[in-house]
Amino acid sequence: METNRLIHQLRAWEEDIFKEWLRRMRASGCLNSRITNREDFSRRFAGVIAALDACAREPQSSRSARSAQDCLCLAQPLIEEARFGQERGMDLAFFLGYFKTLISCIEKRMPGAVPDLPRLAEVMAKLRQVADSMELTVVAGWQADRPDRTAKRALHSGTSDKLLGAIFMSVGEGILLVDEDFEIVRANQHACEIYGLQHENIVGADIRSLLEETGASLLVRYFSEIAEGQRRHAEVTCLYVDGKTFPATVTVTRSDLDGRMYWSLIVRDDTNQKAMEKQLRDEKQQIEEMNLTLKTVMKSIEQDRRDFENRVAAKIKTSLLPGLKKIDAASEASVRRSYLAILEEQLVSLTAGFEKELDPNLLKLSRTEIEVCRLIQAGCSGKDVCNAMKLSFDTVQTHRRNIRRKLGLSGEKLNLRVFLMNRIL
Amino acid sequence: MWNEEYDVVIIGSGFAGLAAAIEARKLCSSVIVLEKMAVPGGNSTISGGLFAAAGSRLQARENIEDSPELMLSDMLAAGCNFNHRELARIVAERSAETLLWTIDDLGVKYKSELSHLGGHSVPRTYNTENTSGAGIVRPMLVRCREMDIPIRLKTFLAKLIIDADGDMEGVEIREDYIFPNRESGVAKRIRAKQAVILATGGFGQDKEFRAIQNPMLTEDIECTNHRGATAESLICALQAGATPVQLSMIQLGPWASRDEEGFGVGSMFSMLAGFPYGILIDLRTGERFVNEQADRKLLVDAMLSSGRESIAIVDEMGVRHASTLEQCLKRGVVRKFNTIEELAIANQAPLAPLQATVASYNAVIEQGRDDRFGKPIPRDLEPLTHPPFYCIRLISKVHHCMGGIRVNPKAQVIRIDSNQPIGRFYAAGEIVGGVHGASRLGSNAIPECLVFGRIAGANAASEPSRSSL
Ligand SMILES: Cc1cc2nc3c(=O)[nH]c(=O)nc-3n(C[C@H](O)[C@H](O)[C@H](O)COP(=O)(O)OP(=O)(O)OC[C@H]3O[C@@H](n4cnc5c(N)ncnc54)[C@H](O)[C@@H]3O)c2cc1C
Repeated sequence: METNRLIHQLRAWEEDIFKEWLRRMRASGCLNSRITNREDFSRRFAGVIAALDACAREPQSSRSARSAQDCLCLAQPLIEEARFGQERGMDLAFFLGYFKTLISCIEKRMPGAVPDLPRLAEVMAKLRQVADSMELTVVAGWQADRPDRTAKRALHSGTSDKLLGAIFMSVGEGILLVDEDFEIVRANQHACEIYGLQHENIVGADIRSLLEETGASLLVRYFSEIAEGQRRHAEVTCLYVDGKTFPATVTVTRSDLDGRMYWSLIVRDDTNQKAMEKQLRDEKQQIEEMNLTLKTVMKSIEQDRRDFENRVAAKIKTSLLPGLKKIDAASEASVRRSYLAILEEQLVSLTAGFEKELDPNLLKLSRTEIEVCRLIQAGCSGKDVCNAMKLSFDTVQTHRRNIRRKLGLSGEKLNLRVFLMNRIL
Repeated sequence: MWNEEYDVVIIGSGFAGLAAAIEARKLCSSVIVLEKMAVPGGNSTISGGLFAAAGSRLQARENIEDSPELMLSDMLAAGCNFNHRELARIVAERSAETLLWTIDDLGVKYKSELSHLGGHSVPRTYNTENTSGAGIVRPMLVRCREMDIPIRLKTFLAKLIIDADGDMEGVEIREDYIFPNRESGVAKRIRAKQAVILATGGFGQDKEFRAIQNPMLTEDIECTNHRGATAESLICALQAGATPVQLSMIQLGPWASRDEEGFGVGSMFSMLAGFPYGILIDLRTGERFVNEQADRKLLVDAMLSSGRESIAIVDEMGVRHASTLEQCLKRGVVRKFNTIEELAIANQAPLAPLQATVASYNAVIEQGRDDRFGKPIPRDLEPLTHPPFYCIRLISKVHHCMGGIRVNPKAQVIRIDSNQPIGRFYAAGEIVGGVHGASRLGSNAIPECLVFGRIAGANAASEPSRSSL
């Protein structure tokens, strides 16, 4: 009878007990909205009360003989709750806190519920026993379930590992991880391609076998020199699977894991870059060479011009100006004429050294005669000249004779055209 | 219509393709090797580099009597006489001269000790110095470079092209292909003035295709092969009229480790030490159940029956033969124990039966008795009495395709409808079926691929040349 009253009363106080429980959970900093769901509480409360009910109804005689097994039976609903909580990600300490607080809240109310309950102490002890056996089972179960949980977690970290692995494999640069024995322990796809090796062949290989000797010893030196987290670059020559060599840039970083040193190498095949660099270098050199040539040419042109100017200036000073003064001073026309002739000669001589010479005799030619000369110079035959100038053959022959005379070629064997070839008309 | 033209076009850059290229290039002026993967070498370069030869220098040194006939009879015994005998005979007959070719011509370096692999009557197996097929593939690649043979990577054979007379005329490829995306790359056609050689290897990684041939090989069964060992080139050949041979004969390797992917480093440990010098036990009983030196088929059948969980155990004496030991220990594939007790506890094996097994095995060796499973007990075999003890956990993995397309002794591919060679079409290596019958003996694939690769290369380059386009 008293038991009925006790249970009944406690059930009636559920809401109060819930509030008390909430307060204490909050006070201990354990409040978590996901886990303080009222429905869950109701179910768990009912479970504890059911266990209590069972404890209270036990005949007195069996009280000391209560086996752990019986306790377990009573605790079963609570253990179910534990599983449920565990599945929803509740951690063990929190779960135990939840029930310890709940049971303690109930215990506190029990004396007030049925003040004169004779076996109160005993019932409470039994309840504690049930709670303890529940706790034991739950803790043990939690641990037994742990592999599962860690498996799940491992799966999680497994997937992120996989993700990292996928990224590692697909990065567009070669990555190698080397251990203290110089053995390559990881390699990504790009590294395989750079060296022409399958993954099975590159992993386990000695890093030094992928490089030419000088590069290999440089790398080994870097390995011993750099501190954890430090980074070094090296330009090395690497070996492709068929023995071909190629230039590469390697970035070495050291990272320590579990007390062992590892070096990660980022390898870049510089074949293309080197080819481009070489092309650029070649182009630059060509341009420089061209500049140099241009400069020399300009310089020599400049030099020539200056020489020319100097020569002209000197001539003007030494010959022309005195001539002019003399003409100025001469009163007689005949004298003037002779000076003018000299002056003319001097002027013409200024052009000496030119490829084509200005022949002073050419100045004696008439306009028609000069025209004839131009045509002859250009390679025209006598007939061509007749046609071009609309003159008769005889007239042209006369012009030719006069020209030869004026140029001082009369009686000479020299061909008129050959003579004219290097002369300016 | 054609984008490029070569005298001989070879597809596949493994043992067979490279051997063919080197021979062909001696007789013609332009050879190209097409390879779909981003790196050359296929299964060949990740193989164990074990090379069986009947009548070798090392055998002579060790006074081991051997002959091509003995090798052939071993092949037929393991192959349950499914072998195309004429092809098998050529492999056995030319094994020794081909081994010499790799040493004297290519400069391949081998260890100075022979191995005795399961199913072989005598020790006849050479092993490359670096315990890998790369020890042979590399010098071949160097030779190709020296001979001006381009190896075009990321180039996928999409189709074989037959001309109006029914002869092979060229290939349709996808250039800049990215495995395994069939849509990647750009389609192109390459013409062969003399011949096409198919050397595309096996299809062990093609889970769909292998399950069609042998439904017991479900998806979850692991594989030792490189990722590119798929069936599409075989299908191309069948479309071109080739004859399929024994496609369902797919070998599992009994020596692979449970604790690493693929062939790894453990397989060679079992092959070179665990099986010949140690014992294979079922963890559930602690007992032996098979002749450790049986051929692969018998071993796998025994290991797979009634859910056995197999480990191989070897002691300090036997482990000297394991060239990959250090890496095995480093990667946790092989574990080392001071006593059989510790080994039993760590592997959750029943101790007393295991001790009894070791004792009775040792007694057989010490007293020179016959082993009840029929394991050959050579004179240099030591009892397992020298700690520490090493063990490897085993699981069978798909390893080799005995089946493939049919060729004649000239390596010409045979048409299925006419039973006559398809003109200007050769094949060599694992893509060819019939040489090994129901089961390939360990270390027999390398001689097969090299022997027939060279035959195919020489014959292809001797075909009359078509006129240029
Ligand atoms: C892990 C392992 C270890 C082994 N160890 C040994 C050993 O020690 N001794 C021994 O004798 N045998 C061994 N074998 C068997 C032997 O290595 C193979 O049978 C042999 O390498 C096959 O050579 P192959 O040239 O025929 O083919 P592969 O070497 O496989 O070369 C074929 C090439 O063709 C390419 N290819 C395929 N399809 C196409 C396509 N559509 N387009 C373009 N290219 C294509 C592939 O990517 C591949 O690179 C081993 C096998 C494996 C897997």
